[in-house]
Amino acid sequence: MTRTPSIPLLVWLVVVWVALWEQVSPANVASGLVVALVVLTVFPLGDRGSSGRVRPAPAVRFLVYFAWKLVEASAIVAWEVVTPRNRVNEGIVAIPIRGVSDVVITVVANAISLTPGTLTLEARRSPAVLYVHVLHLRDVEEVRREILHLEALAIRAFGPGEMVAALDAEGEQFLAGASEARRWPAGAEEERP
Amino acid sequence: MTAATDVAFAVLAVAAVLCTVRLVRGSSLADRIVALDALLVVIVSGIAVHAARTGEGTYLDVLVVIALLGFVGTTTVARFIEHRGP
Amino acid sequence: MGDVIAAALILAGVALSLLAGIGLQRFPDVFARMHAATKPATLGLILVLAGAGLRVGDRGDVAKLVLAAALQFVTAPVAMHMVGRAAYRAGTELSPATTVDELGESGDAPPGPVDGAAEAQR
Repeated sequence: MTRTPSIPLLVWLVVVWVALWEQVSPANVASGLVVALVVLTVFPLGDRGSSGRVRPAPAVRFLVYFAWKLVEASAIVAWEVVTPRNRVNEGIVAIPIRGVSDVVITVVANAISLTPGTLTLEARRSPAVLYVHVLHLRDVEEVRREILHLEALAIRAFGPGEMVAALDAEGEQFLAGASEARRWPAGAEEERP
Repeated sequence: MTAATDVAFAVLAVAAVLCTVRLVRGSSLADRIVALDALLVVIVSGIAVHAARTGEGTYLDVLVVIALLGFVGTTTVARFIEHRGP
Repeated sequence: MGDVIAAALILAGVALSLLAGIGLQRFPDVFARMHAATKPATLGLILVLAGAGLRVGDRGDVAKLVLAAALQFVTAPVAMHMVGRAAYRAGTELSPATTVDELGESGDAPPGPVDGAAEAQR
């Protein structure tokens, strides 16, 4: 696969390189550029169906929502650890997401994994389904709703433009209703990483 | 600051002991790798607390290296578990 | 003032590490332990790194602390996903507290270890 390396990735690698050298000097930036180019050429990223770009305002909204969830969930799990009564009710929930691009799926799956109390066990690309392990399972539908909301925020922040337009037109229900039929594929063999 | 970091070191020591107990008791390989991961985080925290106490960053390189090696190690063992079973 | 904030951040961070240690002892199976252990510990580490960042003077040192925090944020969920997936695929027993397993029911779950490693062993 011959693609021109993506610029943000290149910049990130150069920043890491310079940070490790502790000093912003022309020589450090130049050597960082060389190393980053070599790395990106030798290990190209397979990127399917992206065409998304970062929109600053929705991205901030996503991050704020995510940070709030993080604090809330941390408090709940911390409380669970220190109180003697055991209310753990575990479960693995299938969550059919909209799956509009690899970037969005990755962002959502990682956000779920970073939040205490939920953990992405498996991810399927098409049909897009996340299997999430939940520590305090009360209402399966509520878990699905919350993660679909998180995904909607992620699409607005990082997703393809036409998906954002569809979200605006149809609201949170966009593609969420189709999920029931798509949940369990009949014999659809899925490529695994 | 010294008093605060004293407390911090003591708390980290207890956390490290708890992680080590799980590491030894395990029961499954996945348990052990989770415990080891938590232990590495405790070690990295310890280095950061030391840097905060003394105000010097000599060991911060070690911190970055341990954080990265922890990831590589965890991922490697995860692949191993997947192929070999718990 | 900066020192007070730094001390508060560090103490909050190590408290989360301690919670992780306790969680490792208390929870019934490997998935629950992952919830309790690695994630609070990661958040705790971010707090400690922030506290240390307020204390070290050198700009290069701050850069390294920021780098470590950023790498932690990127690598921690990936590592957890890998361990969780491997543990599930390898057939780790779920605790009796598990009430729902839609991955197992879906028929979508890979049957144990991949690449025929399990078959080779039998």
